[in-house]
Amino acid sequence: MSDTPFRQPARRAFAHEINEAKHSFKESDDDRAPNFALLPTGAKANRVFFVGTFMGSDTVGDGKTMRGRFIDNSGQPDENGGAESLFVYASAQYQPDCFNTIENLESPAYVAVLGKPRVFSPEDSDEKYVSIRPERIFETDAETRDQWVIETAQRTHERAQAFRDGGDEYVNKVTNVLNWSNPDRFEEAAIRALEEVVDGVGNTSSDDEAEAEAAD
Amino acid sequence: MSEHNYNQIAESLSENNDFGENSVEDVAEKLEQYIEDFGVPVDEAKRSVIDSMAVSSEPDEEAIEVNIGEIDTQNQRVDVRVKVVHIFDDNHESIYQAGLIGDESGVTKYTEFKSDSETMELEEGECYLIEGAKTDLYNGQYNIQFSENTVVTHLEDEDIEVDDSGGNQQSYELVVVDVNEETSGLIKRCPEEDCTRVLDNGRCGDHGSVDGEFDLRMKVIGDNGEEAVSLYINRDELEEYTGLTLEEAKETASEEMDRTVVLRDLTPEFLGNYFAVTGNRHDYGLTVQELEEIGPDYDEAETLLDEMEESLMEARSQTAAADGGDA
Repeated sequence: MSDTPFRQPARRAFAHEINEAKHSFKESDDDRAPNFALLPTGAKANRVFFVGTFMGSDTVGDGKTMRGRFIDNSGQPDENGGAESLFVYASAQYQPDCFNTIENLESPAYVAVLGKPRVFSPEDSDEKYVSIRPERIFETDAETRDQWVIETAQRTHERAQAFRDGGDEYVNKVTNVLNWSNPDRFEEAAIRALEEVVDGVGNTSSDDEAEAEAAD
Repeated sequence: MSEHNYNQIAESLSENNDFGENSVEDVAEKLEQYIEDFGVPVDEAKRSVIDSMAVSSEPDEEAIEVNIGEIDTQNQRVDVRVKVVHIFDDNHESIYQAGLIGDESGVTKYTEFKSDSETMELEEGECYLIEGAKTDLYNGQYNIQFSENTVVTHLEDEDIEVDDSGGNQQSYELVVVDVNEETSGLIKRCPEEDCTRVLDNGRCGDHGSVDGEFDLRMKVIGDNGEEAVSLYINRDELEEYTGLTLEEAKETASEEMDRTVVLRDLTPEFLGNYFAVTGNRHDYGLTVQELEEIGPDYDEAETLLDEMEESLMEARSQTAAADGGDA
């Protein structure tokens, strides 16, 4: 074991998958042990890294919490034109920097979010939702967004293949607790997001092409 | 975590250091205290024990022949037989040449300064006997520095096999997700001999309140989705990548009367950017030797897209076959 404290890696997943990571668990009884959300392609995630388009924010809980909405292109095509929303909640008290960052963001903007997935149920319902408690939020650009989409599609694909090849304890958890028998839906979601990048929507070089075409 | 044999470590330290009146058991006991009671990492503990218990060595001590992988003491005069693995392109102006040298036990960084009396230009792929170099410890990694008395002999007919696999050289493609603000930007280092610790508000962890020396560096977190690693980017690599020199940073800081503006300007160069990095992997992270920004590879994306569509189709047809066409 290394002499320095282990830092949990930031999993790459699209909004469609994060929103279905509706099971949280710990791997030790220690109070300070890290909390994980279960990604339905069969991986544990204490931390995620997400890059999407900031669409707007509002305050909740008497103004003490800022909720930001971010989208990527992993959603079902017949819902919102394929945009899937991911919600980030920053508390003024516990995540003041992120609270201020969200407050000052202007939509639309490409934004990167590093944070921890949280599974919760609202007071009046048993329905589970996943949100992100942010550690770092910063504005980025189309190039980084494209890079992230390609990388996240790659990671999603790797997890999907591992799931199909037989899987491990996390795949078993997915089958038993989340009730997904295969990762197809999430590979599909990743394909949708990747297609947008390959086809050049939001791709800087083909924005130029689109402009040139329009000028003709 | 008590896998350490403190007597063994103490004995090995005693081979290269004179602990005066302290016995091997005294040294072992001290090491155990650092590591077991205080949870100090092994390399740090060794360094502190040497600093506090060793009698300072004579300036004209005899050099000892070592393998690169054996080096575990700083300020030691050594002879090494090595092959030059890699020569760094850009260096600080005081450096004549720097790069990586190695033998069968590992690889390490070497530095030859311009002030050295007879500078000798080493060539990549060639082997040399380097006599009377000095070992140095920086950021948890041992390296070799040529001194006034270093003698370099080209070994024309020899070929040395270099082990750089277990030798800690690692490359990553990752994104920078965080910047360690306390120890990045225009910082101060402890001026005490052999101590290079970054000061925290003018204080050194080992030496208390000191008058530090300015330096430029970034400590950031790189993450590739599978592993999060601390990246140490030192002055040379920073200058090569950003163009910012220590002198310019000091000027900016004094104009604005604020040292933190340097970090403010440097942070966007790293945070949220994807890099290919190569460097020495050690207990604390990676000391970056090469750093290159990487952008989206659209060809790779197309290939990946095809691959994913194909495997999804295959998975679906298998499910269909299993369900008897119920997909």
